Amino acid sequence: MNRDFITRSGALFAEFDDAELARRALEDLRGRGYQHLETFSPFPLTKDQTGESTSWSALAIVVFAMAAVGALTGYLVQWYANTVSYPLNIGGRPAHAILAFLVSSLESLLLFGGVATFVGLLVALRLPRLWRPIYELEGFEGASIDRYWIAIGLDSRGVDLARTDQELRSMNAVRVLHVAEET
Amino acid sequence: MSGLALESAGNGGAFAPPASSTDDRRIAEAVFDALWAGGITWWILFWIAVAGTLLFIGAVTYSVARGIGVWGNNIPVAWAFPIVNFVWWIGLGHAGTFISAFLLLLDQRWRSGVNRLAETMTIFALMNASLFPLLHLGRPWFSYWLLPYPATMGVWPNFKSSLTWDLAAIFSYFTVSLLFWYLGMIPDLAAVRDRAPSRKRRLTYGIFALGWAGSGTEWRRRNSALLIIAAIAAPLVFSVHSVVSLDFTVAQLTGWHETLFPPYFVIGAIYSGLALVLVLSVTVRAAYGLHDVITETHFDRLAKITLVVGLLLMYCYVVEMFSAWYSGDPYERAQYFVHRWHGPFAVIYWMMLAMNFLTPQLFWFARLRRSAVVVAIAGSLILVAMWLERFVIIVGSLSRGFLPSSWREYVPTWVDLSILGGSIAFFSLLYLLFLRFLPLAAASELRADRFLSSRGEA
Repeated sequence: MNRDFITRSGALFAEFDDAELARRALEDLRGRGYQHLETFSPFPLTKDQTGESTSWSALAIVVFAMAAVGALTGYLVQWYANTVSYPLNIGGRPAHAILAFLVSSLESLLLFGGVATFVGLLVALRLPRLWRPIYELEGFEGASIDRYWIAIGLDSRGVDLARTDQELRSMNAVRVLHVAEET
Repeated sequence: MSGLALESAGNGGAFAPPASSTDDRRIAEAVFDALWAGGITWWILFWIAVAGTLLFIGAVTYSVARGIGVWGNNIPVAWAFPIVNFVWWIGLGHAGTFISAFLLLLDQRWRSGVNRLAETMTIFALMNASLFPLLHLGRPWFSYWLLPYPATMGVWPNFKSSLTWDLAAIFSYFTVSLLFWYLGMIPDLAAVRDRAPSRKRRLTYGIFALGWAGSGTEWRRRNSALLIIAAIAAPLVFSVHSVVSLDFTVAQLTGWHETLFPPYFVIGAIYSGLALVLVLSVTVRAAYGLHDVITETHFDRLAKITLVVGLLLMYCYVVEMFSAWYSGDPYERAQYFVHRWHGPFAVIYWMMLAMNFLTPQLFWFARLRRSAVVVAIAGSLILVAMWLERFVIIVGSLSRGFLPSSWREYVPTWVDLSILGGSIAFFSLLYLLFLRFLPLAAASELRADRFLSSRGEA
């Protein structure tokens, strides 16, 4: 789905002017066995889109790994600087001061973790992009304001274009667009 | 992509269109209507803030050009206004992330009315705060010496010093807070992009919206990422002011050398930050008529948290005094019970104590918690009191050390006062620009909360 849901055999985009209608349509379409469904909306339409009920463990693993790298990097920089390269004897305290080094190590752990979360998200979503194919859809700009779109990928087996179009309209879609990739 | 087969509009059908989303849409519109809307009042405030910022720049330039002898700092009061201002600003920078991250993690959905205001406040307060230690170096152009880089001279920063911990803590906190703030704003920036009346604005907001389209996958992943960043930001809130307090506790000075300091400073920081959130949310609500976005319930809950944190702070004051008395150390006892109560800064001390103790007591009463006027006045009093608290801790303690022969008073100069006033003006300037050019509340979250809760899912 790397091209905004517009697969080789195209996609159907249906526009709804009410969030509740869009949600009902989404559930209905799922019930009818459509596999490739995606919504575009100005706010999360379902509970799982709020990110609370589902965990995204791939990102969590990346963040954990980067946080560990951050802690290690922070500690090694301090150890090298103050123990190997330029040890300062202040009142006979040990040059390799584990407790003192832990403070900045914690901070760099959190820094690396925070940055990894952000960068990881952008990589996973393939952002930033200034232009996307779906921006060309007529009226799609409403998807961030007060329109709710449902896309159906057409590569799933058993999608009959005319029938699906009819189904979407019967669910009160105000507009149904068929998009096909140019070959 | 081309080859669009455009067909439009079906109508009628078995689904009757319910009139559910008008309310949440209206609320979101109120947020976006505030964009680019600045009447005469905005411009007046803007120019006042610009004038104050120029004063700030002027006073800083003068300090750098002439040297920090133009300040009132002396020996022993070597840490005076700049460090008081630093601790004050960085404390103000705590409530934003506290409110956002903690309330997000605790699933407190009411936060969406005020979280953007609070997060923005954090970013700008941290920007102000970080200027002061650099200025206090005296030669700020050497501030990069604080960073661990392989210098030709072969020297490195001393990581056993709490001052370098400070740098790491503030840098991490600022970066993570900035990402948290930005990540929360991306969908709203996309909404602004699609509403913008001119191509220039569409392009500008479009760049910052990063190509957000609001797909289900984007929402799911972005919201998961937001939770992870919140979980990272939460310990940062505690670590930053703890580290700031270590700048003090590692010294032997009475009034500084206390194990209580890390929690005491964190509590004080959140307390002052909450006070600023109260003041800002009352002001913004009145200025933009956002009575549905920022409600009296917000004031009520924020005031309750302020009361609790205020009582915790009182507990710290009591423990601090008890420890001084219980230590049996004559210098400790003199610091707390002679110099603070009767010394040269006794007036400031008693003012601070009275304002910090009495003000939150208003919040025992539901009617007062819900009153915008009371909340704003109380917030302002706490802000002043918390500045005075840092003055008492820093200047008060330094001016009365162990040796009576080294005791010395402290008087700020006009440069000190200009830098303090100017930094407030600079903050106001940044905040006014934020109100004009960025969505001032998390519109997408406000709508999602209402939509999902109307379905019994939130």
